[in-house]
Amino acid sequence: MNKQNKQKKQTKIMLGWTISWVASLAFLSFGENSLWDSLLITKIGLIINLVIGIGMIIANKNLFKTYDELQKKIQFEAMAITLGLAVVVGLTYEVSFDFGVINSEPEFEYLIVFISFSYVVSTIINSRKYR
Amino acid sequence: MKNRVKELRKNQKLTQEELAELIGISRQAINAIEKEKFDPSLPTAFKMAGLFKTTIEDLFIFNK
Repeated sequence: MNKQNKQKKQTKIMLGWTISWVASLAFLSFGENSLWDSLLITKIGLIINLVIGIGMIIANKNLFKTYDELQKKIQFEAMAITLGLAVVVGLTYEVSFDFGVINSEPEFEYLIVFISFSYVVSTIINSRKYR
Repeated sequence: MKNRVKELRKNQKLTQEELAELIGISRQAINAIEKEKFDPSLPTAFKMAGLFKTTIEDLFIFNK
């Protein structure tokens, strides 16, 4: 199997783990509110979600191994920009709330959405730079 | 870094896709190297030089 096919296969595996992780998290949130009223079931659900999450991280690491040097450089640059933006924008947002500049309390979910958006945009811009 | 990758690739009648396959990197990486937007790693440079039967110094021109 050549490198390109390996990368396609690993991307599919990564996608499978990601979908499973998001689905297990969504099911856990929904179930805890609507389906069951047991701390034990919630704890089991959390452990399952954590295990799937670890699987997703390993799949991502394996996908990264299939990248060539340019693809790795693109990903590293995107990660660096994303990390910087997350720290700077996240802290500015938090301080703005503390000082009363904004009224809505910072939520962790907003940061996750912002990180995802920054990463996707940075990857696209970097990929175009090396075309 | 300036290089002669495109010239030597064409001399050998190879497409970017074929060279990428032989070296074990993506076609996008070959294109970026030829356009001098990206400098390859030392192992990749050695592989290319070996494939074109030349030296790294002849293939890549280092400007201080």
